[in-house]
Amino acid sequence: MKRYDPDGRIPTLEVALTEHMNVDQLKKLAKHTNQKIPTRKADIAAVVERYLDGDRLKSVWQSLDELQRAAVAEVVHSSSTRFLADRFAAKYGRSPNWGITNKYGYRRNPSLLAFFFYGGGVMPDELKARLKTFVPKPAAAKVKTLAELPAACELPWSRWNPKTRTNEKGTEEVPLTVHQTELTAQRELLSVLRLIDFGKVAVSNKTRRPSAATIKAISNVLEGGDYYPVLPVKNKWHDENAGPIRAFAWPLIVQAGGMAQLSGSKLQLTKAGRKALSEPAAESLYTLWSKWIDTTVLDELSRIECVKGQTGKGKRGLTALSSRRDAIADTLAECPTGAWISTDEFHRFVCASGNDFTVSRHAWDLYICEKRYGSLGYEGGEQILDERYLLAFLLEYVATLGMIDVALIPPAGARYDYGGLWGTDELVYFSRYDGLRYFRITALGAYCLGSETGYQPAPVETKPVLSVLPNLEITAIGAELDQGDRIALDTYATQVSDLVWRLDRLKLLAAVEEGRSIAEVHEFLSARSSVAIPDTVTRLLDDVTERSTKVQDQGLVRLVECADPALAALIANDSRTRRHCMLAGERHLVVPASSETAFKRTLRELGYMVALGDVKTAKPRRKGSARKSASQSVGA
Amino acid sequence: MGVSPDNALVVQSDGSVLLELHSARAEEAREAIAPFAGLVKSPEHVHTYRLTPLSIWNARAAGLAAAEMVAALHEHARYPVPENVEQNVLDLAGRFGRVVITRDDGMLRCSCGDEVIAELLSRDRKTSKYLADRIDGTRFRVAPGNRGVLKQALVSAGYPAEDLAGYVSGDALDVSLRERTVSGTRFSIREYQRQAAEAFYASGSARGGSGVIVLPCGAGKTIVGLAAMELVGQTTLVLTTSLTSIAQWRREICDKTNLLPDEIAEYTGAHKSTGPVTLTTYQILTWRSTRESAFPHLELFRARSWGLIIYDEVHLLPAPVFRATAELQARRRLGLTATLVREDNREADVFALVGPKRFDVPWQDLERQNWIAGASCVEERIPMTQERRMEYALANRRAQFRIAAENPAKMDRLSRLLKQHAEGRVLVIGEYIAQVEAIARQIGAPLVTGKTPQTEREQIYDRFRRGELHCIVLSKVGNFALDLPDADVLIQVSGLFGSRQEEAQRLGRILRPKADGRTAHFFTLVSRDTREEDFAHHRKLFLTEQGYSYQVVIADEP
Repeated sequence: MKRYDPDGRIPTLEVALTEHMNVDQLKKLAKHTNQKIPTRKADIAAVVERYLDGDRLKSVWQSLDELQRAAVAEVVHSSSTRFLADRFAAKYGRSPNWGITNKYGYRRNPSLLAFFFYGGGVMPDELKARLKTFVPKPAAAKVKTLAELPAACELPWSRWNPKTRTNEKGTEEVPLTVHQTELTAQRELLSVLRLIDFGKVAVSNKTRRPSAATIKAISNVLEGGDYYPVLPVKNKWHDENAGPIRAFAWPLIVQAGGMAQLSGSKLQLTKAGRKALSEPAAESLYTLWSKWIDTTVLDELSRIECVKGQTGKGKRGLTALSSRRDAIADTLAECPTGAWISTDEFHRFVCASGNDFTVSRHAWDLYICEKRYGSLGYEGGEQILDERYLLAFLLEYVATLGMIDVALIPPAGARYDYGGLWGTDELVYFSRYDGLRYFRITALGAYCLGSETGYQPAPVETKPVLSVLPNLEITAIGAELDQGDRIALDTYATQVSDLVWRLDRLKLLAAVEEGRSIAEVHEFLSARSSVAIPDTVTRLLDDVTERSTKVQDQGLVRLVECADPALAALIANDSRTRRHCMLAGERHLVVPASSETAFKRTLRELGYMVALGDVKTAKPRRKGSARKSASQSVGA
Repeated sequence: MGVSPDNALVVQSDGSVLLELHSARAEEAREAIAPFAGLVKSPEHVHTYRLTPLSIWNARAAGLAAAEMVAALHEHARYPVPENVEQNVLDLAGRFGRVVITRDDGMLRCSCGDEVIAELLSRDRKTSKYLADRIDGTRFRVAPGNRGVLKQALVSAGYPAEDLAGYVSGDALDVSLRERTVSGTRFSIREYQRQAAEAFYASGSARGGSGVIVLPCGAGKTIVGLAAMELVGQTTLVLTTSLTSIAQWRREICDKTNLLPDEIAEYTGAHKSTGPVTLTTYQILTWRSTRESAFPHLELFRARSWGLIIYDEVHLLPAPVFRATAELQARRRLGLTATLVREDNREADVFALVGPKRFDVPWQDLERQNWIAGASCVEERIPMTQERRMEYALANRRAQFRIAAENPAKMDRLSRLLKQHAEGRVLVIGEYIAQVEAIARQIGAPLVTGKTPQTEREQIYDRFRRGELHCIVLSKVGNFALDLPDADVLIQVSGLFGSRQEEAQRLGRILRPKADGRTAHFFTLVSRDTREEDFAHHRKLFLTEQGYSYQVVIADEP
C-alpha cells in the first residue's frame, strides 16, 4: 500500500519500486536489465534495485540520451524531487523520451529514464543523493533575443471566398510601432504630478480608477498621446480602439506609490509627490515600481474585461498579486538589458526559468460570456489567462514606468490563440494588450529590477524651448513645447496667446500660496530658457519671494470686545492676561485660539469673563447666499 | 507645410507674429513683414508684430498685394501659418481699394467695387448719410465737405477708401534745404529722412500727399517735415505740442532752410499772426472760452490756402483737431510721430483723416547706424523711513502715490547720481512742483516749470546747449519737444502714475546722438514697496518692450 506523504516525496528506491509501481510496470522496467524477470513483485524490485546498485547507476545514467540526462539533471539539481514537465518543455523545447505508448497514451513501454522517476515523475531522495555526486548541473535557461527588431509583424489571415467557395489563407505585414519609454516616462511622471497639483485628476473613491475626464486630461499630457490613437468606431459592435493604457495607469501608479492621495474626488500631491517634482524622476520611478509590486489597489487582470467572474466566485481562486508580479519581475531581471525580446519568448522564459506563475488556482470560475460553456478551465484557457496577464502587466505598468521599450501592433487581430474558446467570436481582441509583440529592458528598467546596482539618469532633456524676455513675457518658440512645460507655465504665468505667457505678481503669489516655491519657478525657467533670465524677471521673482514671507499666518484668534478702551488696556497690560492677548484698536483684544482657555481663566482671576456678545457676521455677498458662520473667529 | 526651424517667424492664431531675433533669417523676415504688420513690442530676443486691419490697409495703401503678404508669412514662418490668419489677411487686404474716392467735376465720386458693397454701404448706419446721391449701381456722388467723415465712416464699416481725389494747391512757397546751416555746419538730409519724405510725397501724385511718418524720438522728424515742405513747395501750417516745440521748429527752419525768420509766423497765445509757414500748438487751436462755445482758433485752418499741414506728434492729436482735419481732406497732410499707438485708441482716425503710415524705421536700425544714442535704463528703489512708511500706510490711495513720489530719501540718491555723472549733461524731471522746486534749491540748478516765462525758458535751454549749465530741473513741461541734444543723463524723480507715453517721451529727451557716441543714462527713482513701484513697473515694461535694457537697483535702507 502506498504510504501517504504530504510532500509527495519518495525516500528510497525500494519504496518507489514497491509502493509506487505495480507488477506490470515493474516487469516492463525490469526488461531493460536484460535479466530473467521473476514473478513476485518483491523479486522484480530486487532485480531493478541490483541493476541500479553502486556504480551501475552511473552507467545507466550514461546510457541515457542527452535530453533524458537533462531531465535527470534538472531534478537532481533542484530543490524538488518532482520532474516538472511544462517547465522542462519550456526550457528545452520538447519533452524527454519516456518510452513508447499506445495511440491513446497508455500501456507505455518505459525508456531508461523510468529508472529515475516514479509515482508520476518523482525521483527518490536516496537516488537523487547518489546522482548528485556525478550528474553535472544543467545549463540555466536562456531567453532568446533578437539581433534586430523587425519592421513589421507577419499576421496570418483567412477569409471565405464565396466565389471559389474556399477558405483562403495568407499573411499580412503589420508595421510595428516602437515606444521608447525611458525618458518619456520621466517627463510624463512630472507632467502627471503637475496635473495632480493643478487639481485636474479625479478618481473614483471606491476603485481609485481615473474618471473619463481625467483620462482625457492625462492623455493630453502624454508625449505623443497614449499607445494607440483613437480610431473612429465603425459600429458599436466592432470597436477596435484599445482605450486608455498609460493614461489609465498613471493615476493608479502614483496613488500606489504614495505620491498622491484622494482628497474629495480629486487627487492631491502628498509630501512625497511634491518632493518628486523637484527630484530626479528616475528615483521616483524606482520608488513607484517598488511600491507597485506590492500594491493591491488594482489587479491587472481586471483590465482584461472579457474575463468575467473576477468579482464573483472566480475572485476566490485568484492568486496573490505580489506573487504574480514578483514572478514576472524576477524573470525580467534575468533578461539582458537593451535587447529586443518577443513577448511569446518571454512567456516561455518565465516558465523555463522557474518563475512561472498562475493567475488563478481555479480557472473554472473565470469565463467568457457564459459561466459554463465559456469557462476558462477548459484546455488552453488558463494559459491564455496567464499570458494576457503578463502582457497587461508589461504594457500598462512596466512600460509606463519607463522600464521597457515596447514594439506594438494594433490589438485587433494581433493574436488568435483564443479563437478556440467558447464565446469569443465577437471579440475584436482578447485584451487591449494583445498588440504587444516585443520589448526590451531599458537602463532604468535594469536599475529598477535590480540587475544594475546604479542608474545614472540620463538628464531629462530640457530643450531650450523658451525665451524669457525682459518685458516678463515667456515665448515658447524654440521647439515644440511638451505638455508638462505647458502646465507649469500655466501655473506660473498667464497665457496671452498661443505661444506667449506673461509672468505677473498675482499669478506668482497664487502659485506660492498653493505650495510652490519661487526657486522652483526660477529653476524651471533657467533650465528651459535659451537666453539668460533678464534682470527684470529676476527682480520680479525676488520681489515675490520677499513679499511672500512678509505677512505670515499665525493661526486663528478670537476677537474680544471690551466695554471701554480703559478696560481693554487693563486686560492687555495685566501681568496675568497680557501673555494671552493683544490689543487690537481701542476696545478690542485678540486672543490666539491656543491661549483661549488660559485667557478665560486669567480673565476670571482679574474679575471678568467673556460674555457672549452680538456675533458679527460678514455681510452676505449676494442675495440668497448662505450666511457666514456666526463665529467670531478671525484669521490673523 | 512642416516645421522650418531656421525660420524666424511664429504666426499665432490671434494675428500676432513673433520674430525671433537670434534666428539667421530674422533680418530678412523683419523686412518682409514690417510693411504689413505693426510692431507692438520689441524687447530683446523676440519682437512681437500684429496683423491688424490698419496695418494691412496701410500696406495696401503703400501698394503691397495681399498675396505678397501671405507669401511673406509662409516663407518666413517656422510653423504652419494658422488658416484663420491667412484668411483674415486676404479678407482685410481685399477690402482695401474696393471703395475709391475720385474727383468729379467739383464734386467727389465714391465708386464701389461691386453692387453688393454699394448696397451694403448705402444701408450702413454710418456711411449711408454721406452716400445718399447715387449715380448708378456702384457709384455715389459725395459733397467735398464730407470727404473726411466719409473716409472715417468707411474705415469703421471695414471698407477703407482709397482716396484719389487729389489735393488743392496752396500758395506757392520757395523753400529749399541748405547744404550748410546758418550756424555754418555742413548739413545733408539723412537717407532715411529723404526716403520718408519721398514716400509721403509720392512724386506729387494723388496716391501720396497724406500720411504718417513713424520715426523714433531723436531720429529727426522735424527734418523730415522740412524735406516734405521742400517737396510740396507750398505754404505750410505746422501744428505741434508746445511753445518750446514751436521754438524748435523755428530754429530748425531758420537754420536749415532758405526761409527767412519773417516768413515764419507763430499763432500762439502771445502772437496771432499767419505767414507762409505758420507754427501753432494744439492747445491754442482747441482753446475755447466755455465748454459749450465753438473753437475760435480752428479758423486758422482756413486763414490761408495751406498747401501742407504738418501734425507733429500726431499720436497726441486732440479730438477737435480731428474734426477740423476731416474738413481739410483736400490739403496735403503729414503726420509725424514716434508711435502710432494712441492712449485713446483712435488710430483708425489717424489712418482715415491724416493718412496711412507711409514710412517707419525701427529704432534699433537707427541706433546701429548711430543716428540715435543707445540708452541704459535703471530703476532705483529707494526705501522710505519708518515714519514716512507709516504716513504712507495711513494715507488714502491717491495721497499714497504722492507721499511715495516725494520721498525725501530720493534726494540723497539724486545727489549721488549727480556726483557720479558730474561730467554728464543732466536733466532732472519730476511731476510735483514742490518736489522739483526743493530739488532745484538743494542742488542749485535752474528750474523750468509751466510758470517759467517762455523767454526765460529759452535762455535756460540755450545756456544748457552752450554748455554753461550742467543740469536743469524740469517739471512735466520737459516731457515733450524739448530739444537739448547734448543731454545724456535723465533722472526722473517722479512721474504721472503709469503713463507709458510719458516714459517714452522722457527717454526721448536724451536719445539724440552724441558726438562722442556715449550712451545715455535714464534713471527712475521710485520709493520701495509702494504704489510708485507698481506704476514704475508698468512704465518699465513699456520701455523693455521697446527694446531697452532695464536694471533694477535696490538702494540701502536709510
